[in-house]
Amino acid sequence: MVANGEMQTDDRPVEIACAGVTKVFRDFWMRPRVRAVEDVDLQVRRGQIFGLLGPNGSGKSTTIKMLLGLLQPSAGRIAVLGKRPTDVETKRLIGYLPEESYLYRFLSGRETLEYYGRLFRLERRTLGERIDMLLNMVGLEVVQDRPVGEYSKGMQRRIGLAQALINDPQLLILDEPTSGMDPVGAKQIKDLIALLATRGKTVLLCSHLLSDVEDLCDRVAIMYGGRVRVEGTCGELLESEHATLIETSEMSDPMTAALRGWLAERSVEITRIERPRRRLESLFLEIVEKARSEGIQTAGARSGGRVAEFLEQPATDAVAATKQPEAAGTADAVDTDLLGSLVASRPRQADDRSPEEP
Amino acid sequence: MMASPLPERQPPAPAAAPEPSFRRWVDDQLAGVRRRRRGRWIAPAAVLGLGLAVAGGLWLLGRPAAAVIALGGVALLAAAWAGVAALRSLLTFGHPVTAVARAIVEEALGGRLASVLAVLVLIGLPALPFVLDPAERLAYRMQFFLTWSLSAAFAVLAVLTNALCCGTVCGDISSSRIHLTLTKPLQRWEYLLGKWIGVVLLDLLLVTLVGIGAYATAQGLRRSPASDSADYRAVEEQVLTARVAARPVHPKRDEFDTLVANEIERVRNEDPVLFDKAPDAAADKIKTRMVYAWHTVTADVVASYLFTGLQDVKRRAAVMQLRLEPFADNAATSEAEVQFAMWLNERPFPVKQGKHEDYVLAASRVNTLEIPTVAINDEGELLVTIKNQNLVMPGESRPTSIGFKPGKGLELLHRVGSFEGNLVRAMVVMLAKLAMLAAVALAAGSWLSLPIAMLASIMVLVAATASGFVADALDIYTGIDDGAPTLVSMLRQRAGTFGQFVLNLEWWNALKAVGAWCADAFLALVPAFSSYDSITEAATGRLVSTSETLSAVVILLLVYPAVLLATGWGLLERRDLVSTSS
Repeated sequence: MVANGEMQTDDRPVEIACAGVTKVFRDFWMRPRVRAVEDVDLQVRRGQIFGLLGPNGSGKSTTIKMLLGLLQPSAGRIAVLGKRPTDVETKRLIGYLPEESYLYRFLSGRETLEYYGRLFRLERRTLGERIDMLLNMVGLEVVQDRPVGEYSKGMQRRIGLAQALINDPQLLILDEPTSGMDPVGAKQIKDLIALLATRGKTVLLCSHLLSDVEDLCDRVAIMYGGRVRVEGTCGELLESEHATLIETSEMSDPMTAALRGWLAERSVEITRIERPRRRLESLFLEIVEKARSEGIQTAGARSGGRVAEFLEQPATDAVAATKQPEAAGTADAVDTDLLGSLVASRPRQADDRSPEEP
Repeated sequence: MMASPLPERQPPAPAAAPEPSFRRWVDDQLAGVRRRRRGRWIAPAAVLGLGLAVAGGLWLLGRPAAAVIALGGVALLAAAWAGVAALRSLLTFGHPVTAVARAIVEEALGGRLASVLAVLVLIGLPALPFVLDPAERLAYRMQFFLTWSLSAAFAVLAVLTNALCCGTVCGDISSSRIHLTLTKPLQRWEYLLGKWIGVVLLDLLLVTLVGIGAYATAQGLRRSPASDSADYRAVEEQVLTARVAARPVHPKRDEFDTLVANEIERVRNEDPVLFDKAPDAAADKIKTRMVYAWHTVTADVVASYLFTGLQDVKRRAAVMQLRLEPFADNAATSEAEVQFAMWLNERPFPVKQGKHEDYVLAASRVNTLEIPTVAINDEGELLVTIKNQNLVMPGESRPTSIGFKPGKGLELLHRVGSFEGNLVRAMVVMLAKLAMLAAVALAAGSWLSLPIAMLASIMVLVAATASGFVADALDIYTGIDDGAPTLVSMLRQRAGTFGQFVLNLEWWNALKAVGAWCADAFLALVPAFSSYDSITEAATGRLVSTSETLSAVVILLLVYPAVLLATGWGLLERRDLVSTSS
């Protein structure tokens, strides 16, 4: 199902396209055991933050793993950045943060980033600079030489995020990025995701924290039982057609009563009047910020530093910087047949943001 | 979209004046080394310091032997430390494959099993000579030390390689670490190749350390007290050397060949139908019988054996060894001795105090006689003549005959190289075997679970090490002797036997035949490590030949790993790396 909304033309290139994707896990005798994903159609365009939601076992992670080429779809077709998900040159432009920290426990934080950075064939000097910037960004500079196995879960998520960004990816796939993070870290990650999107990066976000998704995502798809049950922009999906919210400065009780009477005369029913509440997240952040300003020390990961400079570049420059000379030609050579056939199979959807104007 | 409360961008720093590129490169390297090594030197330095203190303490306490062991262990650990540092530096640069290789080296160093096994080998090597009985002959102790230290080191390294390779791939898959690695621009074959290279380089380091340790310990043992001067000489000439074996030819080769041909013709004329059923086998049988007859010295025969191609032997060494394993006919083996007189190029040998002495040797045992190389004539030939001098046994009318099994029963060993070169070649062969085992374990780990993969690769190790024994055991168990010369004839024979069992409704035997068939096929696929018995050769002072070494490198280090890794890649490529939906 697709939410109703105004249909507009979006000319941004499609970076993830799935058509009729199905995944059936089979047992040893090749009998179907679990139908994890069924007939999923998805399109994610450049610069979008796309939220993939659903309860446990709804097929989100399986879909992501098919997008990453870790699983072969049983049926249907997938194009990522215009190529098959198993294409190595495509992977050069993808960053992936899994839902758990699948890291080598015996490598230090720095060695972990070196290892993943070297898989992207980054030049030694560039890699060293990026590692310094990322360690500073995720607040792990002080513990960079400790084995990852000794890190807390939150610290492992931070180093996981850093490895996902080491190649300055054009497409970022984040599975539960704020899981295990304290609210300060979670806020920084959300800010980072927003920043990356403004720079033209595409983000596929998978999270159970619906408030995060609502804050960040341009489009969301909700899965259940392996199928996409609904897809659209947050505005399309969440706007209530049968109620209006008016927020005013503080009103006295008589004034409220007067307003209620005035509206009642016009057959408008007031269903709820209350004082607006702050969000717990903003209160938490305020307290932490205050404690920091008072110079109170804490153990573990530091507050993240500034965003790594290379991530602040516009997407096109960043992609070019990541490509190796010999790989550049092939990475550009999008499989237009594959992409065209997948995009043509469904109408283009409206979107509420252009890459240049966040 | 929420506003981004990121820190404000700082103005870009003014560009620094470019430094000379070499200076920048050096600074980069030093900064990288400082970062990587931070804290890493403390533990090894502490261990080395402790080892040195222990060695010094033992020396002061009047325990020099224990001090030497401790010192040897410390030296090997220091070498291991330096080797690991070199390995890390080697794998710091270059292709993503080397990044994967570096990761598995770190995994091995971080794992307790690898450390425990490596320390076991490195401490055990210098300790082994001290558990040997000093009353034994030095040459025997030296052979024992070399055989056991190298064999034990190979066994430990094989277990380590197996555990490491199966563990890393199965662990990566089961813990989903492989998801992060394979979502990077890395082909699955590159992942497997990187793992293999890492393990082989680690094995190279450990094999090198084992070789250095064995060599240093052997040098120490060489200087320990021997039984007598002959014992010292035996160490130098029969153990710490590299010798080849020359087999004799008949001194009247043409006459002997004619004799054999005549005998074949005679048998053919006697029973042409039977002979023509398998003419080649029959001719071989007749020739073997006549060679045995030539190698049997009866009471009334003087037998001669000609060794040729010995031109360079005189230049290389003063003595050579005649290796004899005589058997006494018509006598109880346990009591038998053989007595014979010997001539070298028609001169009596040995002559003591002007008298030609007989040799009295134990039968059915290997006896080594030292022969001076000056006995070789200018044509590089040595004619050994043996005359039976056995006494007439009670109840017999004539002396017992003396026989030598053709081949290893009578051969002349002479030096062609040094122990050092031999040991290096033996270690190369050992490394090639480990490289093949690594490929087997990686291929198994790419599609099997950890325990099954380890079991499968251990099966391959056992099959490769004991293929001949396993094949014989299978034949005995199934009652089928598959002495067929070719694979096709063997398959025919197996099929025929199976058919007979089925026709006779002997289902259990038929099942055993099928099992033996499968086992034979498995053994045929696995290379026989007995063809590359470099450890025994090095320990017994026999040449580990260059051809054997090259063959091991090509077959075990290149061909088998290539095939196995390609198979592993094919399996991994088609494998879903997530077993259930999440």
